[in-house]
Amino acid sequence: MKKRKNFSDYVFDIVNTSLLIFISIVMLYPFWHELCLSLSSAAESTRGGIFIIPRQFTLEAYKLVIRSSFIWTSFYNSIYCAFLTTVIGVLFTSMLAYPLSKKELMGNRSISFVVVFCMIFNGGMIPTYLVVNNLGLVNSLWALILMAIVTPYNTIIMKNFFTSLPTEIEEAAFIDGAGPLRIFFTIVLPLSKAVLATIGLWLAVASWNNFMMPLIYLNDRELYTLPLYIRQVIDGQLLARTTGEGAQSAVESVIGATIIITIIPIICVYPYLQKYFVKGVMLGSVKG
Amino acid sequence: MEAVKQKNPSPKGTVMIQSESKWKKFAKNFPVHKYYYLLMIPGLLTLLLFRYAPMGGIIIAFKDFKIAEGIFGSPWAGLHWFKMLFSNSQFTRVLYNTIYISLSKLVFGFPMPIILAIMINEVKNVPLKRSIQSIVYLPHFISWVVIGGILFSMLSPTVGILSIFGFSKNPLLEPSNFRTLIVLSDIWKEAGWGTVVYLAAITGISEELYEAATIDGANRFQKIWYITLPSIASTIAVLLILRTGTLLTAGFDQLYVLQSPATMDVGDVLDTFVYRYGLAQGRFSFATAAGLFQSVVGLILVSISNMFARRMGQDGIL
Amino acid sequence: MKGLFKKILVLTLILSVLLSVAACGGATNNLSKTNNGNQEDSSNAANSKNDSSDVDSTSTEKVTFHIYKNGGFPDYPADGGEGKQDVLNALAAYGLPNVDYKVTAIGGDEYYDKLNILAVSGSLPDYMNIDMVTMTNFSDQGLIIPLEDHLENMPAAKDRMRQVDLDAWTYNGHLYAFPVAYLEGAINGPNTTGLIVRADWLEKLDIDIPETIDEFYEMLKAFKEQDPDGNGQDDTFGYIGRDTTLFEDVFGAFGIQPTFWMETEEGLRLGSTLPATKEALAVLQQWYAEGLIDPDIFTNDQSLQDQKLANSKGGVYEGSGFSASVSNPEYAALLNVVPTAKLKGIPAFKGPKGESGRQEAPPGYGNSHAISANCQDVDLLVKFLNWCADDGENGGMYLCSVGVEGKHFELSEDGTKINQFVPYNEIYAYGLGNPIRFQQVVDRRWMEDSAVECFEAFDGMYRENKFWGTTPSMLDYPDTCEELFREYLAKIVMGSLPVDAWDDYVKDFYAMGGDKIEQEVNEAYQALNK
Repeated sequence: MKKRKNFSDYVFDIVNTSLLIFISIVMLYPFWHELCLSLSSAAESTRGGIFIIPRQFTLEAYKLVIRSSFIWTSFYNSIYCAFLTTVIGVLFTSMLAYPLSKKELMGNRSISFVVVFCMIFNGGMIPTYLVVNNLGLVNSLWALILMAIVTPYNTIIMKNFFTSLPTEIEEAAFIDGAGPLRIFFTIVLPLSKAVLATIGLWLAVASWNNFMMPLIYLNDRELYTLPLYIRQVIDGQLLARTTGEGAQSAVESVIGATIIITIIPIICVYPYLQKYFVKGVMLGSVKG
Repeated sequence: MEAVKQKNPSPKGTVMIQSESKWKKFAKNFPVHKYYYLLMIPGLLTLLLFRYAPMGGIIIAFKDFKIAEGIFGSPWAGLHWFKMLFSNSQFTRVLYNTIYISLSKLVFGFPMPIILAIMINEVKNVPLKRSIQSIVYLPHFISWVVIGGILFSMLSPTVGILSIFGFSKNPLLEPSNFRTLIVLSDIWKEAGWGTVVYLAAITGISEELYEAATIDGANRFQKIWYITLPSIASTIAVLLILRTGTLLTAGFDQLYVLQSPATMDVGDVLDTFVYRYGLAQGRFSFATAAGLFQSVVGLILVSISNMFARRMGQDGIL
Repeated sequence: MKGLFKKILVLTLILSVLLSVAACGGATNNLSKTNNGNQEDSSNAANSKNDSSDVDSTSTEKVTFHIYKNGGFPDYPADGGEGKQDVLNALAAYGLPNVDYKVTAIGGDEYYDKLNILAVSGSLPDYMNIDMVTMTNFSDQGLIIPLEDHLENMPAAKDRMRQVDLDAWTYNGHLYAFPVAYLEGAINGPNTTGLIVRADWLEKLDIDIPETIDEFYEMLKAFKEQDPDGNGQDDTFGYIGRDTTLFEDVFGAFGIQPTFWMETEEGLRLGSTLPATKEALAVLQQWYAEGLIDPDIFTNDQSLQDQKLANSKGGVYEGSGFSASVSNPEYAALLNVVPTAKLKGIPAFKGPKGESGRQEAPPGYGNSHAISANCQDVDLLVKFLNWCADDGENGGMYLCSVGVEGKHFELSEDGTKINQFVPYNEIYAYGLGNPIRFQQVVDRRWMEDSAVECFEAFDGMYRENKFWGTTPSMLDYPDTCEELFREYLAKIVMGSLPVDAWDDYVKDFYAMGGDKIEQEVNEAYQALNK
């Protein structure tokens, strides 16, 4: 179908797009700033100020960060955790959220309350540690994975999404003799790619950035995740400064480099998830 | 039995009839519904193990928790920590700041991702649309410590961009500007990331609705107002309800980084206060008591806002 | 198709059931796991015994000490690296063939979260870095042991420890942590900070190093008004600092330090409650109003402070003695822009009554250690620590600080200088240096001459705190002794409150538990000095 375009449409598009481009520049700046810092010489990054381009280009900061072989171990551990957390998490969360979206299910509201309650109340760091310790999960990556897979927040968001799905297709399938499991796995899940991608993104990012949990639950350096390693690098720089022991590199560049190294994998994976929640095709979005 | 109940329609009887029919319905649906219950097992088990099992630890708030003696071995302290919290001379100031900042973030910060998501959705050029969305989420990945550093240096009257405009004082040092900047910097960092869930909700809107509206001569604002917004209203409602539960948390990392002695009057919030008085002193009981206070208020607020949402025709979260 | 979804469901159910079974199963054999630190130790001990079997032919059982360090050492190898063999060899020659160690390093404040967590599950390491708050908590609960009787068994360290450090770590009459030890000489002292000035600006404007507060004021004024950087713009000010600043030199010139306990006729008083504070505040308020102090001073972090120095915005700042070494980042950044720049440490200036002095460094220098009640063999550990501090034959002092002689460093002929061949991070990567500095002996003979000059300029200008300890009320009112003053300091200096607001501050101080704290401090002080 051909769209009618009138003058106000054009104005709207121009204003909207230029506004968004302005917002994008403002929001890109912190990332750009860190990118420039990471590629600038120690002296220039210490001098600071506003960065348009890197000053006295050098890769020293990156060399420093990847100097230790531990970065690859920690990269592997982080990817392992993020991948399993995302896959198991999306599956378990959707399995919990889908039945909650069925209003006729008995106990629905009580179970919803159970979910919401533990979002607001929590036992705190020490009791949680004791439970995990009793489960024998301390010093295992599975502690991080299992604790992260189902969060009440994600469950509620997903439940809300399932509620808003059109029920006609499910009803039709039910009349055709399909059971709830089959409807869920073969009809509902494929229809919900947008919310699955959203929750998957949240889970992956939360796992990727998690610092406190690995610190508390992991003891062996072989199990360290990326944020733990990164923190060691930064703490090492700060310590070197207070003790005066070998501060040949600027803390600022190193922090910049760690940020870029952490974000790059996310930037690489993002488009694959993004295509599910940023609508690409304007016409003919198929329902069912 | 039936006859007696009909003669004496006491409230108790009514409940019995209702629950009886409820159980009947349950039994009738069970062959199908049992699969639903089956589906929920893994998720509920996880919550049970990692969320509910540690909850016994909340009694730390009523104990004088000693690490060596454990949670159950530590002596009882009654309401000591709550008294200490509520009777502290700074408590009123801290509570006021927390609510002030949190409410400002709710009023000004909460709508931002919605507006941004709608704006992004209105971009026709798909590569441009995806690029913009990919840029605005980036600040989310940079920690507050780093963002704070950038902000301080940008706002500095000596080395930042504000020096060009002739500012003589860092606005982050002026109590009158401080909270505004807290809200603005929060939007700057998190609004882009917040668009993800709304964009996902927007994908569920049928394209036919827009086409029909175009034929009816609706302009872009009308389409946004009458189609897009109502379609994502339930998502907005749910996020809003969830948000009210965290009214007493104003963002520890952000305020810890951005507050300074000159702005403690307006910038000291419950989380930073509890950190100084509790965790930094190794007083887990105090921190737990304060956390419990936040949770109780949070639960009340969530229940109230959920009730409102249901009154207004939304599903809510419960 | 029908098979597929059932399979998925069955698989996930099995997965979740397995997980929970595994979890509960873990709980039953958990008893052996609660002390997992030690469990690792014993397995580790077995390993290293095999490794070193060629050296250690005696059949003594190895004891592996698990040690937690507060610091980031990304280069330090998990297995201790090559350097570990050097250490074990030296230990064997020293008569300690059965000692082994495993280091876990965690940086930042989170280190103490981790310690608390380990304490909760009863798996504290044998030996660990500790701070005051954690020391008081742990010793109250018997998690760490008193050390005063063991001090005699580590003469190499004990003779170089300062009494004030030992006093600071004494709590309820017992010593609970080993402080660092110091080599002789000004450069090896605990105090490292002072005022550092742009010596090239002084030369250009023909100003002598200020000796009194009035001369210092004139210098700041000249820095502000006479365009010392010669760019033709009025864009400089005098004094740079950061958010943690307490203007120590200015308060020192008035005979006090705001956060130190000072001796008065009525016993100990916190410096900020004494009238001299008000005089110093008046001076600072005036300086700030005249634009002599960086207007951002209360929000600067280290990096912003460096930025201002590197951009020649100010001429004097509070820094560490290391700053005067050209390899230090802020100096290097400054030289990159102004190749003729010169930084120099200056002694503290004198006030109207001839008084002066900065704050002495808190005792312990951050690298103090406690022994946990779990420790397997305290006597052996103490002998090991003595080795760490011993610079005699087969002693470990050099291994623990600068590495292997000939490989990483050489001593000058008169023994007053250490020439290093490699940067510190390579020493760490080799498995020596700071990560294994279990009983530190401060030795800065490796510093550049310019930094040495700086330390010498700072020497002897520090004012002492009469009471360093923590009292119960300080825990109840953590804001009272410092945060409250910082709030008033910032507001008064910036002019948003008048100088007279100091009277309100004193009232607030006593209302917020200051009276109790003062009383407890005086009681503890009298008890210490009996």
